[in-house]
Amino acid sequence: MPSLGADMEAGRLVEWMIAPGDTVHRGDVVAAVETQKGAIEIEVFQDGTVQELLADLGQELPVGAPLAVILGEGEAPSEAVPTPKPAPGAAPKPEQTTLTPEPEAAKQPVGQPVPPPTPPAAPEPTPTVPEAARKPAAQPVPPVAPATPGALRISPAARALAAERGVDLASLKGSGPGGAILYADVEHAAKPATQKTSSPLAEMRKAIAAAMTRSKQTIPHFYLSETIDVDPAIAFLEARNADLPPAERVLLGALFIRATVLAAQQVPAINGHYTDEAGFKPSDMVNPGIAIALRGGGLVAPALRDASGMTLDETMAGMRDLVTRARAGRLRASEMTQGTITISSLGETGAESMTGVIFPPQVAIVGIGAPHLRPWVVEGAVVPRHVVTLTLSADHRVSDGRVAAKFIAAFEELMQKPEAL
Amino acid sequence: MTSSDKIRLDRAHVLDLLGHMIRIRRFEDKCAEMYTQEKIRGFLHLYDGEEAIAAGVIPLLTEKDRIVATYREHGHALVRGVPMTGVMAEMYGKRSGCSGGRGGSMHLFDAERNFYGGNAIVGGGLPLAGGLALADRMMGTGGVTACFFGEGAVAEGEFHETMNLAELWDLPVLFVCENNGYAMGTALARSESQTDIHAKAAAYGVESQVVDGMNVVEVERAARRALASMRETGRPVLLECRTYRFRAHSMFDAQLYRDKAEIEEWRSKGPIVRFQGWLLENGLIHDSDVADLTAKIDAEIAEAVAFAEAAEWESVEDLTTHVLGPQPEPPAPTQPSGETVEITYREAVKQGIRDAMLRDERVFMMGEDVGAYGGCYAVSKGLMAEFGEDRIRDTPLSESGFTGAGIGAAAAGMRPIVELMTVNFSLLALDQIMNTAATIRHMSGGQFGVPVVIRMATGAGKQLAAQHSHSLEGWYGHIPGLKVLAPATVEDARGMLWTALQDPDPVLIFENVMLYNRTGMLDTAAGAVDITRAAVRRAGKDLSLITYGGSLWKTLEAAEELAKDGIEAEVIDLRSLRPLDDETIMASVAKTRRAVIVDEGWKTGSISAEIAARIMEQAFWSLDGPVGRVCSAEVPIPYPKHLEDASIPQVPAIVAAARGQMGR
Repeated sequence: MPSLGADMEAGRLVEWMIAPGDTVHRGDVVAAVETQKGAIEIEVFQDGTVQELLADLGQELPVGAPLAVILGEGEAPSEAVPTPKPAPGAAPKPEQTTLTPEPEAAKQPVGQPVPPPTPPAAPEPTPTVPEAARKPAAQPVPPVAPATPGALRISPAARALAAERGVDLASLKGSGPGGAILYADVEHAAKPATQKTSSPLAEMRKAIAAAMTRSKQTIPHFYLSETIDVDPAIAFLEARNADLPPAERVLLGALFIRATVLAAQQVPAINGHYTDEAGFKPSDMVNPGIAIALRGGGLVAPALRDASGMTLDETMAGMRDLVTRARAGRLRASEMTQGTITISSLGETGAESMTGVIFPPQVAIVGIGAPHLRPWVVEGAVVPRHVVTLTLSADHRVSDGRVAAKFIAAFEELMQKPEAL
Repeated sequence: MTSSDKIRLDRAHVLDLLGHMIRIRRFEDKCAEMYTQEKIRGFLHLYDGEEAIAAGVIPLLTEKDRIVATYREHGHALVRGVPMTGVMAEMYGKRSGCSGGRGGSMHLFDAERNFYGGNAIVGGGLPLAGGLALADRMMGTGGVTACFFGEGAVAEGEFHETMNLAELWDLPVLFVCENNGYAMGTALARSESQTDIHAKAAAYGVESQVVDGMNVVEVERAARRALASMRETGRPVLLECRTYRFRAHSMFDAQLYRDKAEIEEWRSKGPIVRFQGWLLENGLIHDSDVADLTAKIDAEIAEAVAFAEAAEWESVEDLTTHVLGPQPEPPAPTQPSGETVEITYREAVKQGIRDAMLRDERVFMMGEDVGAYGGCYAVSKGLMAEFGEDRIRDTPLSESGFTGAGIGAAAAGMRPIVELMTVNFSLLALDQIMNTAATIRHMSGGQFGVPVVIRMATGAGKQLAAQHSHSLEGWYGHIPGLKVLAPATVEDARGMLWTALQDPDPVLIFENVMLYNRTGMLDTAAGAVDITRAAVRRAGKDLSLITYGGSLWKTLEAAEELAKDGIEAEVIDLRSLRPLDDETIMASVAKTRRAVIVDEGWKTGSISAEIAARIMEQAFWSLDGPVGRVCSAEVPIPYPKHLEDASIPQVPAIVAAARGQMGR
């Protein structure tokens, strides 16, 4: 069970997309997991053949629990295939790959979308369960801790307290002899009272709240706004979309993404990640996180990976895909963590301006209000024009007003020549 | 020959004698019948043919005299006056039986009539009888104890030990050997080099005589003479009554060991047929007398059967009543004076004994070398000079004999302290401790208790090798009916004894040999201490170290070591191994969630295993890990120091076990 964010302790397996014997390649989506942030697709980071599925659908599994065994090319199937029943932890051999947290995706998050939270300094999502404890968590715990070496050991006192307080033992790291989970471990884990009954939506709101609070508490935000004439863009889109079916039309939002990506390329100081340990690291790629409102509330901001080389149509297609999958609850883990700068556009919803809260560890968010028809001065005369108000929220630890102004100027200029986007 | 020797064979007396015998015979015929109807179960040993002995001896005893009988004792109980209803109900196993239904045919008891059973360990009744007589002698009651036993018992050491003690100490015991020629199915000549039993007694200087056990007048005459002599001299007498049992040993006996002709020959000279015939021939009685007698007896038997049939069963809820006597309140803690003196454990034990001797004249101590020698471990040095040879009583090396004597004396009202030199020797007294002391209260339906205290040394460390060094106190902890103490501190060494002497039940006190020279500070006002609770000797939160006796000090030392590593161990001194103070143990384990038991006994089947099991039963859900144990290596304790040290729990092993619990 991969860690999809530092706040994630466990996930519920809701779909297998592979079966034993299937060939998989790095990047393939192999399973879907429901988390407190919604359903997320799990990618595999290895090429190989699926030897065995270890987890059953519907199981609530702690981060670090093996989900499947995948044999690399030339690897022999292990005799001691880990079955989740008696002592699954004993199983995965070093040469085998298990779907455990992937360092690339989890240890060094390359981007974070706006609402789904990650702390500014993403803590090491080292599996919190000892090697011995890596087993499907929702397995009914045997009445007595198995004597098998390597099996999950839970003291009776720990078991009793966990039952009383509703603590998931499999998510704990044992501090006792042989990694046994002791009373004190459960006591420690039980302190922040777990809330099992709230809805996924409430969970998401809670996660957003936590991330936003952290952001506002730790990031010294500053804001620059500019009103931008979008008539050229609207005219361009009307002409371009004139004879196309709705599915092929390009939306204003896609132009905003293109403009953000290209402007960010010019101003690297607002594109990247800031962590307490490493300070600011500008990103070579621009992975724009696109804030997507979900039906029923909540927000996600999956990223388009390496969007600078995309055409407008590709950008539009990518955007559509993300929206569709976000609303279907089928985003991929990497998409949730790769964002380097976020764009939040209110579209037609009316408000004039939007001042966003930066999603850590990113350092900037572009907020764009709804287009409004306003008096506009063109060559000394007042004319009606469609304008939007752009507000850049930026991290003062990384950038300053000058840098921000440079980004806004670049964005505005790009929006005046939409055909070049 | 005094006047009491003479038998007046008047009509009333001969009818009494005949009546006793016919009553026994007809009662037992009914018992056999009821047995075949499954009303009576277990073993049923019939007295058929031997009735003249009980009938001849028992009516001569006074009310204060005592009787110890065997498992073939229906006749003795009936002649002594135990109501037939109670005897029959007992055989039915009913609540209103004379032993509350708990004893059955082999264990008839009646405290009111000083009828001490009903003892089914062949030979086991003799030391008990010796002890009852010892009490009578020490208390000066003038009472005697009649001890009945079969000739099979003379092969047991307990017979010889008791013969010796009785003669040595002038114990007023009338030993009545009912020699019916067969120990179960083994003829006397098959099992004894010397078949003249009276000669065996004579070898100990016990006055003895052969009596025709088939002739009630002869038996009475001999018994009358013996009792008269005993009441005069206080010395024991043995009557070897030669008799024959017409029926099988017990109901399930094919009698392959003897001919029918032999039985028939004896039957023809049976005690009833002979006596009745003689009385009729001589016109002392008439046929109608026999008919009247028989009718009366049959009516009594019918009433007894009806009574037993109608009687209620003991309720299962009362199963464990009478295992222990009424439990006394623990002594009130003494107010410390604040003034303490340094004292050795040995001296503390001695002070406890001396204190008890001064406070209660019923208290006396006996054992091997406790008197002139001053005690093997010098515990009683000087006490004989202070209290005299009667109350500090040297014994022969007869562990069963003198332990049984202590048990008998306690049952008769004394408060004996029996010292066994070392726990290994106590095994020679195990029959008396287990089959009599621990058992008699329950077996008698709560009528008899044994408030004896038995002290002994235990444990290794003195290079005394494999027959003087073991720690078997855990074994004794297995036995219901006993209390088992292990004082580790000078306070307990001094204070447990008095409390133990107030207890209605047998209390065993185990003194670890390595503690005698150990000193401790004792309050000058120290007195009796509670013997029911364990003590927390050191408080801690990380793990519980549960121990007792000699291992306490090693465990405290280990706790000190552990404290250097920041591990705070709680040390529990069990103090009592039976009963175990579960409450204190579980409270500690619930707090620390980890336990290591330190026990100088062997691990297998030990008290440490019992404690571990109880923790599983009662505190499993409090545990953070498996219960650990540090016990003796499973070897007979060897002689060389380094091997002996390696055999028993030592500080490093305790520290290691504790660290293991903590995962360090």
